[in-house]
Amino acid sequence: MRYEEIIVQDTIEADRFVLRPCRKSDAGLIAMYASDDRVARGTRAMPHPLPPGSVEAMIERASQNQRSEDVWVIDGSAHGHAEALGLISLERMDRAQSEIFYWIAPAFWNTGFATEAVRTLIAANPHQSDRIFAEVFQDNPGSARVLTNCGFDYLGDAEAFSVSRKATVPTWTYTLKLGS
Amino acid sequence: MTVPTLRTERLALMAPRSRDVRVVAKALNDFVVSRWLSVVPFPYGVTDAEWFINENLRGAFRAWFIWADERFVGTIGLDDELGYWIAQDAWGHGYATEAARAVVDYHFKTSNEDSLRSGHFEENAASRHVLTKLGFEDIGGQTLFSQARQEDVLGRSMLLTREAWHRLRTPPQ
Repeated sequence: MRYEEIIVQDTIEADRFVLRPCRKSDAGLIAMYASDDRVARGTRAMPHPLPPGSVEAMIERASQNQRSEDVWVIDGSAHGHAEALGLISLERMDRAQSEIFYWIAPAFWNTGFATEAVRTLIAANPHQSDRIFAEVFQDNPGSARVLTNCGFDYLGDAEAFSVSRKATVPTWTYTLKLGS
Repeated sequence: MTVPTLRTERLALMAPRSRDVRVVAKALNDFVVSRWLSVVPFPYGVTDAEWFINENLRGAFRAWFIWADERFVGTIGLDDELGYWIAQDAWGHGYATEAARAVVDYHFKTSNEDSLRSGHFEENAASRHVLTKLGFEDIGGQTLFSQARQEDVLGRSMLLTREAWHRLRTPPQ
């Protein structure tokens, strides 16, 4: 008999949505939102236009046991909202540290969903991290405000390549201490 | 995550960028520098520098390139331990100490670790001096294989505790 190690990724409850693992059936809605240039510009890795199959590949990667990044769908369907409001993820770094990433579909901007999602994920601390890091493009102050709302401290300036912009863009970096 | 730029009185420590490849390859293709390092081969070429920069860009390494005004003067990193090198034509200005102090501060401010390790080859008095000035203490001998020399080299293992870091950066009352 063979046992396979399954990395359990819990569903986490927030007030207005749940954070749950990706399902194959999310691909259509996620691809619709992710193909918006306003979303892609805020990320490092998301191409624009979005090539067919890339969301399916992301969902496949997020379901593998050997993954370094856990992705949650921000699912508002139990509270009368859309089934996917955006995505939030945690990527393991070394030494009990993780980096957080998130995006919200433009239709739901300025509703506090990102702040609620980040706050909820940090409170649950699924990686049992000592530290969370984050990096946002400097022309996206709304995303930086999400981090400072959640207690992150500004670390310094850097720059990162954005695939959708095909350019290196200045960033702000942040960290939040969680362990004692 | 990209490491943030750290600024000191004379230096800017910046995450490696693809466009830095030539200046770095040129400075490190120098046996007088790489003979003091364990993992850096000699000769050192553009492909070696490209590999190193790419590892940083994908987040596998945490290193900074050190700039004095617009001039590249060396590299410092924080992976398994603190490591650094200064280009030969930039020796003698205290750049390693100034850069290492900034990186040590970054380490203790952004991690929950109790200590930081470093090390140097035995005859490398300049590097030992940098570490002892910052409060590192000798915790014993170690033998490391030097890629540039292609032989085992005796060295010292050095440790800085959070407590010593805190004591040294707080001026006495």
